[in-house]
Amino acid sequence: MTILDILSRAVGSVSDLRRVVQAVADSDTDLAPVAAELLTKLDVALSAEDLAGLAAALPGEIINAVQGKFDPRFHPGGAG
Amino acid sequence: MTARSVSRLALAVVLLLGMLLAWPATPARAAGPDFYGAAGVNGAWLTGTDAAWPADFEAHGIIWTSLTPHIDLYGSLQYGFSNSYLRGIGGAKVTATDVNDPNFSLYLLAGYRGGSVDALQPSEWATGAGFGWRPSPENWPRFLIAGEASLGMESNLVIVHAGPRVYFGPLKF
Repeated sequence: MTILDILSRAVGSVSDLRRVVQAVADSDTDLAPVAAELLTKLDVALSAEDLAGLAAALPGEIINAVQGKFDPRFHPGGAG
Repeated sequence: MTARSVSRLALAVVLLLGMLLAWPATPARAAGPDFYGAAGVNGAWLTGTDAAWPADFEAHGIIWTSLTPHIDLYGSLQYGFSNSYLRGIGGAKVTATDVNDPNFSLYLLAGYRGGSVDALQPSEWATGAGFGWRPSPENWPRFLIAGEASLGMESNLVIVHAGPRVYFGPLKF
């Protein structure tokens, strides 16, 4: 299994996550508008430039982390 | 959870904590990693060929550390109330924050997960994706909505969870 295979499977799992959010957005509950806004955010695709930039930055960040050179950020996704 | 999977998870946690605790002793380090924690609840869904049950309601706890602008390490535990199980996953996330909204981020994960019941076995490496969102940072700065889907590389079982969280941190050691 190549790295691309692993990445494609990882990204493919997003469809399951999106399905859950879509179900809430389609429901007749107070959460529907919140879920609809969340769907809008999830559906904004990362551009090729975004992904290329991320891929370019990762090796250097991994090296920095191993060397103990930290540059932390708060990521809301950390609580996922 | 089998003794073997417990020992694997314990080893992974010990190695992670060992690495992180060793770093503060390095005098040349200018700034340490930030640590965060969160607690909340999930709706959880299992999908896949052998999924034993479709859904459950969980308590969720997680700790994570931000090392670099795009890399987090994390470990989480969930307890399912309907099916009385304990499951967990730990590993690394590569994150991307929305340039137009710093309160929303997506991530890809690679980690090791396991569970206390047969339906959540085997303990295995998993990949997946998720998101985190602070919908109202001005009014509720510690309130998040988060979700994740993880795919077992051996079982092809997909576990999806999503729900609200309250987080604390950053803590520095």
